[in-house]
Amino acid sequence: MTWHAGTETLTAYAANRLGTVASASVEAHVAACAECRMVLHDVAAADPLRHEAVWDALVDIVDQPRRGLVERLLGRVGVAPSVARLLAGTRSLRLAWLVASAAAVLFAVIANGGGGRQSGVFLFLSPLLPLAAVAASHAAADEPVSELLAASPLGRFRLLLIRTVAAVAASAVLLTPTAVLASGDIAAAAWLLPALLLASTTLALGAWHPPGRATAVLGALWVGAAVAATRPTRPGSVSAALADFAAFQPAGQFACAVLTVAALAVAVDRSRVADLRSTL
Amino acid sequence: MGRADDRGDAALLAALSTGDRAALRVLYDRHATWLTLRLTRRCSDRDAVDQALQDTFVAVWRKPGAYNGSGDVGAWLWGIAIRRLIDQLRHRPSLTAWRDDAAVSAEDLVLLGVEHGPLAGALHALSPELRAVVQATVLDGLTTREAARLLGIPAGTVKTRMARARLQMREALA
Repeated sequence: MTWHAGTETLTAYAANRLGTVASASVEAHVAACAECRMVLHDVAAADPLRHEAVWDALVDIVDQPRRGLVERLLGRVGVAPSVARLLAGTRSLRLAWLVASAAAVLFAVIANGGGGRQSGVFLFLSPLLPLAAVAASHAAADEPVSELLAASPLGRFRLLLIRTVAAVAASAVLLTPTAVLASGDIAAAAWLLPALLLASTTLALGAWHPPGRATAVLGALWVGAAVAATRPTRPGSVSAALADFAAFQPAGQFACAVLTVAALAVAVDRSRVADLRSTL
Repeated sequence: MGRADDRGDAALLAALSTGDRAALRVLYDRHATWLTLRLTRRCSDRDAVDQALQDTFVAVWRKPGAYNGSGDVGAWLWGIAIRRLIDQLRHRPSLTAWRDDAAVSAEDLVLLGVEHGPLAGALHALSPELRAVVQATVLDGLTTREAARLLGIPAGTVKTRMARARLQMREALA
């Protein structure tokens, strides 16, 4: 560039002594001329403290890890930032999602059955899935978030609760519509309350047992009860499963709801005691 | 001032995409002063200007590839900065403040060739309100809505003032 604004003009501009039209002309030129920018920088005598303060604030933001898609979506639906970071950073929770999606597809196939014959087996299997997801989300010890949590002030129960809710929500969101659509029966959603009962019992037992062991025992009990309730003589259709197993009938559903609340109450109570003990 | 680094602005932007923090520092040192001055002429609130400047370089750091390689990096930076300032004004609507320097001293008028041209005369003949609209839309390249936010007036008013300014300037230049 051969034309330059000149030191006097730039000084007048920096001191805000230049008229609107002249200023506009200077601005248009300065935006494109590195040389005049340097002159302007020198004559402006900008406050170095202010310059550094903005830089420091800017570096703070630049240094923050960027939030991923999962984290931003969770934040969008009202999940607290710290919880969103926890959920997005836990690799095994993604595994839980994957398992839940795969199972949803599998159950849809089972429910429709081969040759038009429906099968109610998925109703018995579905409550196991959140349980498996809870176990999976606590299994991995080598993931980064585990290390973070070892040093975090977040209580063990709160962590267990967040992960359980995330795992159960993941499977419920994926499985309930699949079950209802595949079987064509709204009653197929009946698996949800037993699933909540199993998950909340895991939480309650979490005060005494590691979640892995608790989920294994509860899963075995559930399978045992399901096998005992199914009559081998009847075909395993959805309606038969709903009729045979007490947990899927209104009274059983009610009992499941009551027991879920009770289990949650025990879990909260135990966690308070545990927190108290750890602070002593 | 980033004189020690003789890389061009475009090269610095390219370095940003590899996470080169030093390149951001050089870019900031080169451009912060004039951007601050220019922003301050649009809004006298110091905090809003600083925040806009900060947001500008955060945006540059995150998406250096948004620069399409043509045109001056300075002009591109200004395009980001003025919009970040408008974002600030949207958050703090009470802040809309356009500094109008209607009182121009005689020696100032001699400083630039543009002051002698008929266009300058036509611009000066405009009322401060009309001139602000011309400056925001024509010289800063803002859309009607952006200009409205910057000046703190409805978008419809920007349009009518721009039409009036155009008419008045056409008469002055005829």
